[in-house]
Amino acid sequence: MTDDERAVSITLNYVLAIAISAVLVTGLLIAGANFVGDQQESVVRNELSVVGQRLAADLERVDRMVAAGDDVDAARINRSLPTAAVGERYDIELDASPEPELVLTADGADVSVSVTISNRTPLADSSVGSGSVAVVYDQPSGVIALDES
Amino acid sequence: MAGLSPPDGPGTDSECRSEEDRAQVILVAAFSLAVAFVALSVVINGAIFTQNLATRGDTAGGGDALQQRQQAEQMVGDMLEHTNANYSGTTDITGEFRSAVSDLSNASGFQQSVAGRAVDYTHLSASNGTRVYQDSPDNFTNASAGDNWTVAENVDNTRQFDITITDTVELEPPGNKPFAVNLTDTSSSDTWLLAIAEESGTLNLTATYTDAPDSFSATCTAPEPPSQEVGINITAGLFAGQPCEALRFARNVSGGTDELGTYDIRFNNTENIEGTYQLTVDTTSVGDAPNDEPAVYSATVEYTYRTANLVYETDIRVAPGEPDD
Repeated sequence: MTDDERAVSITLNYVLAIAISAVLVTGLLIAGANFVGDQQESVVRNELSVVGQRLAADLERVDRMVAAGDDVDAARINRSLPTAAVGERYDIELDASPEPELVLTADGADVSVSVTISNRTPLADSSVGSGSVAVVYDQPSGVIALDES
Repeated sequence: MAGLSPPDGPGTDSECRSEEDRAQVILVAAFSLAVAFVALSVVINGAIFTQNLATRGDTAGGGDALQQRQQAEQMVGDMLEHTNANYSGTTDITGEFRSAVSDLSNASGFQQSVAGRAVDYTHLSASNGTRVYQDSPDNFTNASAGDNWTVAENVDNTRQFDITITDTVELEPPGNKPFAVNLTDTSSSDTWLLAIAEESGTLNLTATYTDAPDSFSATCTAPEPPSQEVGINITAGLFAGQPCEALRFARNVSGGTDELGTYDIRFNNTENIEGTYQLTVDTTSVGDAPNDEPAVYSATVEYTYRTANLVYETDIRVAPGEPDD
């Protein structure tokens, strides 16, 4: 009996130390991973917003070019956008509703950003992937749309 | 260390082994945190790139394309004026203009190619018109000294309509048959009348539009200058150098809208004014004017602007000095 209870405190001490450090380390890792994940989502959102605004500026630029011309045969701007936002690929969709907007969606990061557009020339629903994108005025139908560059 | 030391290497007795196997949790945590820091650095890099992207300007050059278009319109307009001023007597005035556009295209193309842009202007069409003018101060009577006469018929557009009064003493009060420019719509007989009168040292410019219920009358005034000279730019809407709302040229002629219909231009009571005038109309059917000469009224050129990232092709209609210019 007394032999059995010898040196128990050393083992107990060891197990407790392992358990406490495991809990602490796990907590640290979870907090760190969450922090990185949150930061990534926020940065992806920011980057999509900036990319969307640049593309919206191009759309409005083509819109101005079409409005300034008398009989526009062609108006096109090619734009090289980042292929990924913090490692996440994204899709761009032009929503040609009465209040038109660009919707950029990065499925991997579960982030979606929309940027409103102000236009005079009619737009057409269109969508493209990330990378090289073109804003094109389609002369026969008289609408502006997104296209792969 | 677990997994990293050879199992049967030196120092693998139980005592040594337990020494080397210590602190594995901390080690794993350190590796994981290192990975997290690498991921964080990637995220921060993305944030910095985003800021960089946000502060970049218009790299495609859409503003340059529009600026060049504006310059093209200005240059072609100046050339059209030059052609009218210097080649009016030649038989092929539009041919002269066409070759001038071609020269301008070559010069601009060369100049812009240095900046990596391909710019081209192509003459598409030109419409013939007539410039009616009197360049020595006199009454505004016609060639046969007629007092009321038709300046031009079936006019769709007028540009650069300027009147310079050289002697305001000749002007009459509003009730006493002042000089008037009379526009009559050929289909609806609506009229737009611009009367230039003088009363008690004040010059009155009165525009009257007659077609109920859209009829209106508006007057601009200016003091009679000591030099007795005053300029009226009718198509630009300037009276003695000041903007004048009454002067919105041919407002409401044709159907009560702001669009210009087809109209005739008459001068009435021309003995009650003295000075010079000029106007360019888009018709060749002009009246018995003291001076008139053929002119290119307007021209359309195709403008092409290309860079690596931008393509812009459009027509430009040029008619310098039109009311909507």
